[in-house]
Amino acid sequence: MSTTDSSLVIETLNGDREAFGRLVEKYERRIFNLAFRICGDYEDAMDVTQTVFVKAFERLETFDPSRKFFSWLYRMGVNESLNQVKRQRRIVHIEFDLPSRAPGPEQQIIRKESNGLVQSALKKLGEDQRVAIILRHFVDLSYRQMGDVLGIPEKTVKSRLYSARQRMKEILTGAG
Amino acid sequence: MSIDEFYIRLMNEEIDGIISGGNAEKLAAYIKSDPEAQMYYEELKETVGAIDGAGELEPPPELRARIFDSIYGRSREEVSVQAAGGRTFWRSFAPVFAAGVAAGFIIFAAISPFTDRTPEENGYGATIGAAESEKSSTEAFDAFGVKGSVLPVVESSSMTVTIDLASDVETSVLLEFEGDVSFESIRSNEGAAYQMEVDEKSLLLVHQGKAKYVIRFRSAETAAVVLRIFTDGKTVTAMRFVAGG
Repeated sequence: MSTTDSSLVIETLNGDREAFGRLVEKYERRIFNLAFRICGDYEDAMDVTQTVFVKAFERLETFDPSRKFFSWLYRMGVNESLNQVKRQRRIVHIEFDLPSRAPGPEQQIIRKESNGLVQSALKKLGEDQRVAIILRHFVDLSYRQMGDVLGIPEKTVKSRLYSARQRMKEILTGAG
Repeated sequence: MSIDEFYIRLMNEEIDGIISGGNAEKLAAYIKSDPEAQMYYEELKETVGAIDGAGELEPPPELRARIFDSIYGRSREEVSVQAAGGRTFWRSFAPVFAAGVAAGFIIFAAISPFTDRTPEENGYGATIGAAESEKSSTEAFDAFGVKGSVLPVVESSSMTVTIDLASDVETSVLLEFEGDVSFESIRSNEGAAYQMEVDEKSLLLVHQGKAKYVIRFRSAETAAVVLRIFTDGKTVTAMRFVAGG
């Protein structure tokens, strides 16, 4: 666990609200994007993000300080997102005209199209492969970090990720 | 597909930037010698490029407030009041409010007919049960310069009370829990200035200015919430919401 996260966790446990606020500020965007890519729904992603931080706060005393805080948090994010998908089991209309970092108009069009295609392809993957793609490409984790989050060896991470990319390639090129 | 698995692994390692120098040379030679491998590699790079190009979404600005509301029962940014020239409401008015609320409670306790009687016995206010709640009628109030309305929605395991305060008078909202009721969340419109205290038995909201609050509770079937709105020690309205009817 990085010194910063570690000290923020300790400060939170000592009753410092600002400390937990800083953890929220640090990880909110990634948890939200993780949830959005798994759930495919903006509102669900909001609910999941909220639930993850509330649960993290409530369970902070059970957090094992020998582990990395972000791995603990991301694992919660993955589990909550998958649970949300199971709860919803519904046809989702995805609105891609969402607030994001502001690119130019042409980039926005490309990004929207890319967003739509990628999100559709992600939905066609199995859970394990989808999560592998999301952790690697949307949360920017290394193989080792992915292994920590998922509780699997690095070798398995690679296998899942490479299979997932191949499947995505097949879907996106129309071969799947 | 006739591409060797070993080279597919190397292609992925190349894309991830973790390939060793020796393997990079092997891969380059293999791709150069096999058009199918070359096409596969190009498509794989395009796929990863498309995924990376999908971009990152900005979380909605209200999300953080929602998180803090759920954890602490109120937004961290809740107390900013534009009219106070950037100073926070609570910091600016804390002494006044502390004195006012304390005085209000003393006066209220001394004169309140609620002390040993239910709101129904007091002859004003209303009791709203589960059956009526499905209709969710709005109760308006207008007394002692405090105007507004209360909309209760009682469901099987939760209650939601929407309080619309439409005047600039300092107002206190006291919600007392009967039975198994617990506070879940509060939401307010932007710029609302309030201070809230909540414990296992009650929730006290002290407010100034026009604002709308949506307060949500979890409740057991037989639980109830008594709501009292008062200003300067005077009761503006009172009502009781019964979960189980």
